Amino acid sequence: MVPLVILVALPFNGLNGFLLDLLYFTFTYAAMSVGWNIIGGYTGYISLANLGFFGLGSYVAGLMLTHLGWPILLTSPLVGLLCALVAAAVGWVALRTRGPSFVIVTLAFTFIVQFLALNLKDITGGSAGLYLPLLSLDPLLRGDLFYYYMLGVLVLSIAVAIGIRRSRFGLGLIAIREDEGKAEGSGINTSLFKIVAFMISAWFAAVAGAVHAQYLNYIDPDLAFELIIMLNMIVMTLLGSRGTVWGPVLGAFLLFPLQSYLVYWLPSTIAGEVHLALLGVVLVLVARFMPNGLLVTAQELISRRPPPRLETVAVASGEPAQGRVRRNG
Amino acid sequence: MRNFRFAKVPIALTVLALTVASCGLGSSSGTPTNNKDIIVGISEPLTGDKSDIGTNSDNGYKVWESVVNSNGGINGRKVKIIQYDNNSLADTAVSQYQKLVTVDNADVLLGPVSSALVIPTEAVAAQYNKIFVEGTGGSPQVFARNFNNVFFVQPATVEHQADPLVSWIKSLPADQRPTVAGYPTNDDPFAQAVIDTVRAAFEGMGIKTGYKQTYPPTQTDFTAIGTQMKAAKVDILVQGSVADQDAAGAVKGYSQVGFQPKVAYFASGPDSASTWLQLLDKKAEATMTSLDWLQESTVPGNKEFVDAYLKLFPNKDNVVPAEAAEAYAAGEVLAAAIKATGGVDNAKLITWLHANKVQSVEGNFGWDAAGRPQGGTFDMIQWQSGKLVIAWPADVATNGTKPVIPKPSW
Amino acid sequence: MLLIQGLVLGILVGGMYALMASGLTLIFGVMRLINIAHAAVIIFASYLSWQLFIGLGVDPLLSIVILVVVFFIAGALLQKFVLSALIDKDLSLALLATLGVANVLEGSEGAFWTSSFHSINTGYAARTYQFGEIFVPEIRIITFAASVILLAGLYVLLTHSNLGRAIRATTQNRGVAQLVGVNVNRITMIAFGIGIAVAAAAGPLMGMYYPFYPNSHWGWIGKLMAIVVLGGLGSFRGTLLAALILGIAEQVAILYIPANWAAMVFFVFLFAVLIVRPQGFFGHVARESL
Repeated sequence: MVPLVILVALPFNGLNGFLLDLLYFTFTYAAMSVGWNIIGGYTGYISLANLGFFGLGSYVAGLMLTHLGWPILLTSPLVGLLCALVAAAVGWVALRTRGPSFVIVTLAFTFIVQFLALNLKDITGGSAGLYLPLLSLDPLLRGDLFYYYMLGVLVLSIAVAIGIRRSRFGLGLIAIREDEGKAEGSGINTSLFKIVAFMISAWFAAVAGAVHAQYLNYIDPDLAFELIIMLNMIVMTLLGSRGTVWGPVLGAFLLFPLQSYLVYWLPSTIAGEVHLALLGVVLVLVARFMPNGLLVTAQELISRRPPPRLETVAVASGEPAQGRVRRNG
Repeated sequence: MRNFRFAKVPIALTVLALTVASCGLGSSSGTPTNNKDIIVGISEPLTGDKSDIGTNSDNGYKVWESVVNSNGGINGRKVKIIQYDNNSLADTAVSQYQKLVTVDNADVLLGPVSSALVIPTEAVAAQYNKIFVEGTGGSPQVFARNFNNVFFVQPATVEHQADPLVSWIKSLPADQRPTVAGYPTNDDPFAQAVIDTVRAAFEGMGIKTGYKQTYPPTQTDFTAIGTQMKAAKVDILVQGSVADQDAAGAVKGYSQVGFQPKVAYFASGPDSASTWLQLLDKKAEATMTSLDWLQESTVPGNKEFVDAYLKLFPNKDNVVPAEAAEAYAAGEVLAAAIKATGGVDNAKLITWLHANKVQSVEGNFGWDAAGRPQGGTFDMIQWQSGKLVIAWPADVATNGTKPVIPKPSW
Repeated sequence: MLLIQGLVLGILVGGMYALMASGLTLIFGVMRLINIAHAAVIIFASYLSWQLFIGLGVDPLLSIVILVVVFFIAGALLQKFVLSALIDKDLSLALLATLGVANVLEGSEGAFWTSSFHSINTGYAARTYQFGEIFVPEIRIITFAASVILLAGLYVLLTHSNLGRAIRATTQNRGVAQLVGVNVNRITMIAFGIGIAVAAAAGPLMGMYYPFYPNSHWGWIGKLMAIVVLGGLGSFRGTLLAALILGIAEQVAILYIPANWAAMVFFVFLFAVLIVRPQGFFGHVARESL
């Protein structure tokens, strides 16, 4: 609980606008990563759609504000719900099968949503984007508002992740990741479980997108679907430890501030030039050499136990753990 | 929770480190010890998608800083630019302007290139009531929220870029005018704004719309579009292109399918002096666009700017990019306001600029309440015999030349 | 008339699409892996070809020879040192590794060549041939011809060589292939290298055709995935057929609907296939995991 207390108290010590902004984004990434982890980590299905939901959430929230006058900070949970319903439809197409079609469909989904944002000009404003009215607040108060809002969303995401992990639902997801055939055989409704996991992850991405739109007071098809957001979500989760509750949070808290400060620490344009390539290299290296992530690897080192390869259902239920060949993409 | 224990320490440490670092950052990076200097804060895309125009703009700002300081500064105070690279990402740009205002204590702000970056960052400046002068973000969205702290330094807003084309066509005798127009447009707000204005004017003049379609920014293959325009008997092409790439690709495509309009106007493309000729060679002849600034222009202060730029950033073609001029002009406007009001009180600067006109390398004009320029006009330029000349309006045409029509086959 | 023009252009562009996508389906066949970096490899090869052209005057068609060798080696090394360990352990990690590679390539391109558009403009690719009302640009004929030659070479390799037989056996059933004596690990490495090499071969061709910039691979990977799914994951024949069909569909669509919507043709087909017949035209490979 200690870090939570620190985070809640920090603004009262007079965090300036810059740090409020930095932490706002860190919380956003952490919440999105925890959400992504539910489908990507627990269930083992790599989703490239969360960016699409982030952008979709931005636009849906933005349009509700400009057409209906509903404030985004109030409607974001509803926006999340609407996007989760879209996720259910997408999931129905992609998750009925076990194969690589999920990755392909989720990537296609993100592109399609961006395309629609760009081309349904009468609704979305096209590439001109949508500008949103500013919340007329003192800048420091405004910074505080977004800070606490996203901190709240982050806490919620962690609570949800913990809740899932302790439930039969969570055990079912992990079983699907370990061996979907066996999970199916033991009576788990794998399609339903997968779709629900996907919907939950979409909810968090959409809420983050909605709040982001209000934060920038502007949405356009480029910044609502900025690919580096998706890359960051995935790297943060993997680096932190996918399949764990706190891994993605750790990944976000390490990687986001690092990326932000790199531009101030390195000379001239080096940070910008290597930014993307460096993230890519980190992803490859982590996947190859530390696939369990920092949290789990650290736990193993500290307790000097043989690696349990994340948490397998077998271990949880007392059977000896066995290596299984996974064929899901 | 087993793994919470292990996460708690790193997360807490990171948070603590952030707080400590923020104190360090505030005092060490870039804040000058001499508090007589005027600190100007800028965040530009020096890397990423917009790095080319971002670097040009940044160079322009550097030239301005150098010229101002070599002339003794403003009111005796030197200008010091603190500039960060935002990697062409809007979120990063917003974060950097937050830092410039709340940590680096910038006195005044200059904006980044491109409307897409200006729109989110002008809002940050507005929250802190800081003046925000910028030279490239001219799309209507920039002004839609009526921020009074924003000032766009070009002779006119984007929609009016092609006004000279309209006035030229109007000046032609009715039997020489084109009769059918084609409007292929990049899906970009700047391009669309320009083309929509022209189309409205032409339709009012009786020029039929033979083709009107939007193409995606990634479109590179224009043969099908050329075929359609040819079939529609389009004789004046008004293309809403965004860069020399789509414009030049279009010319090549049209040439390959035999689409030969009498007039070929591009919202953007023919203005990139060296690359346009390189890409198209003879096909460039008689192509047209409009510019807010031309390197050879004799506007007051321009020669000094061009010379200073080529000295600081020499290149083998001796070309000064337009974004550099726009940035330089933004600096000039800011400097004029600081000089006139005697200080860096942002509220006073804002009021002064709304009430006055300023002469810069972009022209002589003032602003309305939302920051749109008032009282200036673009120049229509055309490639004639391998050279870029101002062809219209007649009073600023290079050596009194007239626009060439019909365009030779490309 | 307009329709025939669209058909002709569609076939010509379809040939190049087939070349671009064939490596992707080959890789999926032997590794069951969707190579997210595939289009990024193509673009990177375009950049290298551009550099060779501008710097050393090497004709892009000639550069194909150099690039194929270089990228085969690079691909095989990537497979050997990074991907092979991941394929057996956890396929999703291999997928993420390819995502990482795509971004490394994109980031490097931005650092070395900046973000401006590049295209390979050889003097000879500027003419247009006219057949009655149909205009056929020379560059499209050249890239089509080159694609056909390369695809034919790949086809012969796959069907008439021992290596090809081994690859096909590994694709159909890895376990059985191993039982009959195929060194599946080595074959996988070679096949991945070939897949990457074929992608690299498409680079200079694409570079002569369309301008490219670091981010452009994202626009391509979606199309390539649609092609391989429509054809059936892992099926070479399927990819050829699907590429032609989608190329024609795209070029004809441009004539009747706004140009920007024509790009959606690929995704329409993708979703239709996944809903109606997920294994695509000839996908025996995909069927087993569905």
